[in-house]
Amino acid sequence: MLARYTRILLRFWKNCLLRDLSFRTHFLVHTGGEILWIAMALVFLKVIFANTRQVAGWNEHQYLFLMGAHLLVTSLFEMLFFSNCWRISERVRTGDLDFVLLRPANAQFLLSFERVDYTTAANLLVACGLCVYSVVALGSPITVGRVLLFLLLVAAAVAILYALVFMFAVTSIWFIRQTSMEHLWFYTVSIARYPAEIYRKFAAGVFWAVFVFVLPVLIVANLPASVMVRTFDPRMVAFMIAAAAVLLALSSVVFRVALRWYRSASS
Amino acid sequence: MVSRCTMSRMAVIQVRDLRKTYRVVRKPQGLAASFKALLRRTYKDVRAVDGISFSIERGEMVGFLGPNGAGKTTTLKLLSGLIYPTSGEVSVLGFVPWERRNEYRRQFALLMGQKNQLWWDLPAIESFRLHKEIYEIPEEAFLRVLDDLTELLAVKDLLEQPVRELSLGERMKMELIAALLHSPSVLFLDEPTIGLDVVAQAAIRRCLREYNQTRKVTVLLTSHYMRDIEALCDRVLVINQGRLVHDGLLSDIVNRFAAYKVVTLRFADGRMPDQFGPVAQVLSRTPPTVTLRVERTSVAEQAARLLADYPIEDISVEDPPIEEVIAQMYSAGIAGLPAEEARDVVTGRP
Amino acid sequence: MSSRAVRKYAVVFKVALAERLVYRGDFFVATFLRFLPIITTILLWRAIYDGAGRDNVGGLSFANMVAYYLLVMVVRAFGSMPGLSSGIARDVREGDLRKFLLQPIDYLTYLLALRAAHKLVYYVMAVGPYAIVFWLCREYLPALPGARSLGLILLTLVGTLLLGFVINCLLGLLAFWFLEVGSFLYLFMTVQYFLSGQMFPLSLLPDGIRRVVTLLPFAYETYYPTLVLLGRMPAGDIARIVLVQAVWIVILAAVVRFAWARGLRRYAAFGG
Repeated sequence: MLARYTRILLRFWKNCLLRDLSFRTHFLVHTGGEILWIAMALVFLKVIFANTRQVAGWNEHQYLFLMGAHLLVTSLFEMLFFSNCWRISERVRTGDLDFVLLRPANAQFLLSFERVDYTTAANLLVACGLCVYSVVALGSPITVGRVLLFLLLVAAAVAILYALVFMFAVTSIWFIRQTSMEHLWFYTVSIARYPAEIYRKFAAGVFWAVFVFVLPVLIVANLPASVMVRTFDPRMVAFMIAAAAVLLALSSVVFRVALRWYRSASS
Repeated sequence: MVSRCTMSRMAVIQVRDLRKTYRVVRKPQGLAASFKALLRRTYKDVRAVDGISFSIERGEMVGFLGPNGAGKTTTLKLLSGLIYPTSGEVSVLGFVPWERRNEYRRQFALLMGQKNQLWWDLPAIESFRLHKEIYEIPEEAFLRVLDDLTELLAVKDLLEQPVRELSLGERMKMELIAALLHSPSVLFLDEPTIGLDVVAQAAIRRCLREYNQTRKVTVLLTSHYMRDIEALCDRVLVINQGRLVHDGLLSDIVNRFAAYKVVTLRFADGRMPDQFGPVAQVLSRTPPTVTLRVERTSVAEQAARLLADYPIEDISVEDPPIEEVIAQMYSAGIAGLPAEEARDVVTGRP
Repeated sequence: MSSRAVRKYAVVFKVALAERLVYRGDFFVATFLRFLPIITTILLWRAIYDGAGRDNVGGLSFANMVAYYLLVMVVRAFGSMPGLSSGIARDVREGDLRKFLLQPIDYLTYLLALRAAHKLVYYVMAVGPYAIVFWLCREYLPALPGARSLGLILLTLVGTLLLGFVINCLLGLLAFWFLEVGSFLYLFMTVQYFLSGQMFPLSLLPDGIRRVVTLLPFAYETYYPTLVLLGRMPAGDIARIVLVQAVWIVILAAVVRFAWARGLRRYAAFGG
């Protein structure tokens, strides 16, 4: 079964690549836009570190790595899942969801993986570049174990983001949302960007607690980065992996409930 | 009841007392109602499907007729397992559709006219290959079926063109191929020829007939084009306001519901009576021809009388067009028929 | 303009006003949510100031920095024109422009009236959430300006609105010449975020870069007006800023008019 779903996945990716490549201008422009954003963020970084040696305990190269990790995680999500989640409510509205339900395959899988956005591919490259550069500049020891743990946490981070955003998109079948998915994603990205320590004293620590343990958005970039370039708490690592698993399972439950409602209420 | 048991061994599709009711929010009329609606929503229950039962056997090609909103699409969706019924039983190929078992989904296909399942910006062949993976079609079977179908529908050279560049007719053909790629045993078609030109309609009809005859695929098809129904289906189910009002031969509808026949006369020397009697109504008059609507029971008598009294060159007696009969069925109080009488016709079918 | 013309635009104004009032409910929540990203930025700056060990970064104290970002929101409320350029581009591309050309109404003035109406409604509705946020942050905000400066400050804000309007119009009019103008707009908005000082105060930039950036009109769309609101400018400086804004507005408005005339000719030629 794994082989079959892998084959379906590869088909999706190939189809999207063919499609994206046929829209060359759009592809180039969006890639250009992403690179501009990164350039601006780097200028900001330089400005910050012209004024201070460390930000919440992160020095310049550690901060740069954090930026790279953040870009890596968010770009992976945007590439793999953003447009799929975003399209869910439209597909429900147009009845396109029905066609997905007809197929002899897991509907959540088909809905979540159908589109791939290759315009964020450049971001991935840049993110890797930033990570590699900052690690080398830091000069700290890199072991295979650390790299593997880092990659594992990146995967967990993407899983967490996917589960949260997917559940939001699916439950919008029930409610009319004022905050659209793009806004939700924008806020999520903003919150996850900087060292998590800056939130410690905000709102008497409640903000930090909520966004680390309930909606684990604060750790999606911070924890993988800490694992690689700073010290980290192994319990937090375990927590993040567990959170990813729990949230994925929850997303499946929520999806099935939403589907059941949809199939009872529509005609 | 006994006959039903013996039939259930053969029946591919069995529907028993199927009902689907859903709620719509009542839209307020007027300003005062709008304000009240802000505080409390009122609902209305819509009976999309109101207790229908029928059986379809393997290889049958059944037409599903009814006015808009009668419950045709809802029934097809119920049979496809897309929605849950409010009550009733359905069995297709031995499966309960809304359990959505993979094995069931691999054996049927639903095709909806004017709805696009293929990837818009890519050539159809890429969508087909994706289908192949999802339905787990072996390579050899895939190529063979694809070859047969593209040959049958004459779209072989269009496979590599992006779907968005195809005409509506060509796109529908591709959609049909996508539906048949996994060699389903049961085919549900919802308005498959809507919006297509005559040539494309004929091609699709041909393909469906051939498929039904060679592979014994069971087909349930809705259409607003009587041409489709007449060409493809011997048996029709007529549904109105969620209820089945006829289940039998297409020709039976005319016999059952058409109260009159259309008689066309051509007079030899332009002499034509002004009046044709109480049981005949003039539909059109262009000397030397006149078209009459005559009550069915009086046709023989009237024809004999006219032939005797006037020099008539040509006479033809025809059934009224089926569209008209059905339109009459929808509007002229057929819905008031008690359910028993509607089912009466069941015993008379092959 | 004749009184009939004025009345015409006033009607447009009123209709737009009514349309906006319908969306009251989600508006309140959405306005609060707009302040969320600022919280993150401010918390970051807190950490930066702590790391710096002194209360002066780029000439601003931490309190000033907080006030800066809050006041940018106010200035953006005047200068941002969401959907204006893409709306014009869409009208040009999809031929809706024809509708306007046939009616005795000037498209660009119509758009200005529309925007003014939207802005007015926005201010009325946003006063609530903004007031709450500003009251909560009152310790960071500067003292209210004196009466003399008030007039000049209002002029600056009007300048921001007009400047934002002409810049976005110009961008939208590019649609007459470029098919894929949407992508270009996206790129432009990205860069503008940085060049206008929304990302961080331009005073933090190294000298050479800062000099170049402040030559552009974007600095006068957001950065300088925000400094004005911050109350760190003598009246003479404020007047100078208003003057530069006016110069830019006049220049760009002329370019817009020119582009409009040229564009229309091209539009008609290509079967508008």
